[in-house]
Amino acid sequence: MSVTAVGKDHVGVRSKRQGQFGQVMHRLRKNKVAMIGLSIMIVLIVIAILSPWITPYNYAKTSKADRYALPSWQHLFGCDGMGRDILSRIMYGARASLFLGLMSTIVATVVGVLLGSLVGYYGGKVDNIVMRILDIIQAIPGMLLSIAISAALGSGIGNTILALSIGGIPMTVRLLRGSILTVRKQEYIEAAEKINCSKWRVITSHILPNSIAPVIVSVTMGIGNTILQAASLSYIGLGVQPPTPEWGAMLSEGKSMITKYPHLCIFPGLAIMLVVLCLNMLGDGLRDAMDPKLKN
Amino acid sequence: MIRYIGKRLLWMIPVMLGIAILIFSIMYICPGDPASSLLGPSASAVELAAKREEMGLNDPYIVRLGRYLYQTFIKFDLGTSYKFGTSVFAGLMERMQYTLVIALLCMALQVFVGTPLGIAAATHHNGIADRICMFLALLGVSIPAFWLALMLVLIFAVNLGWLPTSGVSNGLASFILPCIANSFAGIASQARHTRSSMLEVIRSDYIVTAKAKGLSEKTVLFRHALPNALIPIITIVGNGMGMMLGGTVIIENVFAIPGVGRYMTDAINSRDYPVVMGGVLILGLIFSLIMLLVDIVYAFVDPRIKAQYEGRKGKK
Amino acid sequence: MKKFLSLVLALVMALSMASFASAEQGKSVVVGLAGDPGNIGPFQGMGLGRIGILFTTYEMLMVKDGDTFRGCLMKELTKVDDLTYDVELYDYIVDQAGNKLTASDIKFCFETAKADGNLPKLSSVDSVEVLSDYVARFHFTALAAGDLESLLMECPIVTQAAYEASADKMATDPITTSPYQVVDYKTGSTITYKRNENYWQKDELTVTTSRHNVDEITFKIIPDPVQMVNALKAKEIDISAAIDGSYISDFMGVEGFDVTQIPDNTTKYLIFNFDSIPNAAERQAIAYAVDVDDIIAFAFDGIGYHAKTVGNNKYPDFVESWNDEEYYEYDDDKAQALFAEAGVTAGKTYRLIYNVADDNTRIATTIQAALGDYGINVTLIPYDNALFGTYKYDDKKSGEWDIMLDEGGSSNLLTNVWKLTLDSRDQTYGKTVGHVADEKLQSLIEAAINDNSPENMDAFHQYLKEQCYEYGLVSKVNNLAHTTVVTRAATCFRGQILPGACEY
Repeated sequence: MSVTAVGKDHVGVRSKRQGQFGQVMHRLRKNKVAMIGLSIMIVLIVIAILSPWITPYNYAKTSKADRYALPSWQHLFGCDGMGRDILSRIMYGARASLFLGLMSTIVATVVGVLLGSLVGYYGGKVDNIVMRILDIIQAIPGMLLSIAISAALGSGIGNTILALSIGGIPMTVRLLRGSILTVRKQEYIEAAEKINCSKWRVITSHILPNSIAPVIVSVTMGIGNTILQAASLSYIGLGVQPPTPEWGAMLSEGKSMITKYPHLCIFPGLAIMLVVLCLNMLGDGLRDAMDPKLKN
Repeated sequence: MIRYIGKRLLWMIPVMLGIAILIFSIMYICPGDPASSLLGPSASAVELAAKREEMGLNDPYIVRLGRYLYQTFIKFDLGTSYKFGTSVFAGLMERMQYTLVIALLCMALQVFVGTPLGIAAATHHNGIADRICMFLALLGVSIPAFWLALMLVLIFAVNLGWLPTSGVSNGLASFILPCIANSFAGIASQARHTRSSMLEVIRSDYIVTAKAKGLSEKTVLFRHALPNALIPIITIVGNGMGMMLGGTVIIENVFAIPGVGRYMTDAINSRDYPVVMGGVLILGLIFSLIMLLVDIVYAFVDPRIKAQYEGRKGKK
Repeated sequence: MKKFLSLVLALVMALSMASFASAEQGKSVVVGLAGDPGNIGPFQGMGLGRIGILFTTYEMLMVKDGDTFRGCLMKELTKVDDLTYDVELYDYIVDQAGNKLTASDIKFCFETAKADGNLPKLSSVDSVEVLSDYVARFHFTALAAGDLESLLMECPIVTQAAYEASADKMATDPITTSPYQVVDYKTGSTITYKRNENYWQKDELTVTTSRHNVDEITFKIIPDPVQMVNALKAKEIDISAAIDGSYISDFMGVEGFDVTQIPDNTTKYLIFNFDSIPNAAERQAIAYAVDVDDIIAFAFDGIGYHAKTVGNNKYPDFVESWNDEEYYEYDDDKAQALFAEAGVTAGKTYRLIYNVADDNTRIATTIQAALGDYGINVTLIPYDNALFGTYKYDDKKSGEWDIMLDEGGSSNLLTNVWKLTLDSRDQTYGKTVGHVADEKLQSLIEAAINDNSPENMDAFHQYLKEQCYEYGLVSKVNNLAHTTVVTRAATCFRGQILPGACEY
């Protein structure tokens, strides 16, 4: 155990020169799998940004003749029930889906990690009050929370992100709290406190690196679900309105045709899968890079 | 420990009150008209207005809130569903039998399939087992539940005819496909969390020390590594159980299972206030109890956490 | 862990025991139902789902049998004066528990239903007076054309004795006069009915809705449309009216299956918000710019027909000549000319509000694409059912939409479809749903409602068409797909399957 404590100090010393962030990035860059994940993500984001200019067809152009057209050279991914080109819709849909998915994941994670560290570090009354409030919030069905947000705050991109992220916060807090509880009383933390490290510093450079792993795993796996969820928000005044494509909505539109025209579901499904895959590759790398036990 | 549990149980009272007030307020500000779903699409605006008046929906917020709290906490009456005309509590319990079976079976699958998969992956880090396990896990979290469910139905019910397509009238057979479809994501996430936290622990110095001491792989794994990797796993299981007892709408819809999820979603969509408010309260109670259970299990798994519960002052 | 396992095992065993072995006796039929009826008590509102089981569960005083109105429980209807009618019952009606049905039960049912307030049409019943054992006298406050029939058809009838014997107001176990009795109701899942061997009516006098050609009927609630198709393919259900249009070809002309197509009584129509589109030319331009053929192709897989007014053409008060009239057929030239006349230029934006459903989304998207051809933007505002209901009728929300996609139908008269949105007396703010306060429109609809003579009907129709406050798009068609166990599918006037009247 004492070895770990020394290891932590070592990190602390180096961070003075390089900064902890830089160090993590340095290790992350050396992780091939993570870099592949990151590159694909960047490609997807670039496609999303450029989509208005590079889609093969207009994403909203309907055509009676092309209804449910199967994949072909004209339409690589086929066409949907309104004869719209699925490839173009996926490319354009990346804008809303990636933006909403990533942003709400980030918001949920940041808020969740902040609350989780507070709760885990201070324990006692803080823990009890915050966790009971989370109990209350988690008891409310997500759909109702979203409707309430839409009704009280109105529509708009910010509120959509709020509606999508609010459901992910309690899980993040709980995971982090659980991990922090196990490291909270370890010797190296107490040692850090004894040498008068600031609380912020104890949390950010000693507690979090040792307890964040479950959060990274859960966050990177949750993004697929978040993208799917966005589809249900468009009925309650939030989210993206048709015909602007969005992967979750494309999937749910194709749902009733799934046995008849499976390509309506398969391609947006694959797109979501690709994002989940990349984020997981990246997340695994990040976790390893942040793990103080895994030094080169 | 007993004191801690007692204190937490006492905390349930403000939590329940909080849930009641919050859900009531949310239903109050949510637009949507219970009268219109009761009277159907052919009712005119004048007729709807009369029905709303009769239902007491035009009273001021504070009057309705007071009435609701009095009903719930003094008379212990959750009210009667607008749509079903039967008691909310009875309705919820009737639905709960199906949800409970699904939740228990799914959690069993998740724990007994997901955990070993995760351990296998961690101990063979970057090996074949790891790759297969992680691929399955990624499939699990990225395949939408409805897609998996419909594919299973197509294969096992429509083409092979082994199992019913939907419904609950065929005993256990009715629950096989829903449970598989529903637990796939859970197994995946369980496997991944287990792998991740096992990896974390395996890299720890004391495991290295234990191995160096010449202890057998198995002993190290199950006596030293697993218990220390359990905390995130318990969190996931606890959270998953709490969520699943709230019902899984997608699976219940696809398989036409009259579970809690469909009951609540229908109620939300038709603004069946008594069902939504009563259901949220009961599910919230169950959820809080499970979270308490999770905290208690933490203490059993890790004595350090127990010490924290029992008062930090003595320790500091 | 052992305890946990044994708990699971115990649960599993309890469940498998509870699953009943279906006793194969006589003919039985399983009907797939998309909506959940919920409370099946007699005096509930007409929510979706309920309508599917209504005629199997209950009998009314009167029903619509084909195109004619016939007494079901009622033997004779006598007019006393304009607002007073005597209803004579058959004198041998008994319910499933053996209670005799008399005039006092009629009084009880109408009074209870009116007090419950779920059947708003009954508000025009002033009182019911018991004249003798089998004659009840109805006093009405007002009667427009067709009102008498719809009132007598509206209220399900049960005996007071049976109703009061029920612990939950018959929410789960109704005892009725119908030939089928509920024997098992698994809420949210299945409702099973057994034929009542002692059904009161003589065969030759039995109306279609009360026929009983099969021994056992099970309604199975299957909310997912793909699963409805799967259940029929696996022959777990015998018939369903909720098979999505694009899957119909899987059953048409396929061995072991058959499809019956019947017109649905609902019609999709557009309502223009007068506050934001006060110019008739502008409204007409939009109507001409939308191609209904596209809508039928995209939203209904080619199965549906052009509406000729706000409502379909199957109602008795529909005027035949409208079928041959030009009614906002797609016309590019006219649309362009009218847009120009109204001063609408490219870049203009309309907000289209609709109730979210697959077909509505597609209709809305088609309209959006059609107007897009003129450089006009359409913002789609979909709402779920509860929210749409609120926005549709809420005066304060009317500033948030320009065009509304709505649908409506009636069990008897076209005027009742018009009334839903076009009679300002039925709105809380004294205008139509489209915020039109047009005295001429109001006087014409009142005339048509009071007396639905072809002249009155035509006058209103022509004025509405000319002003284009609202216009009909598509009348839907119901697809009844069934296994060959059912040799002839039968439906009620509301387009719902009548399992007892199907032939086997």
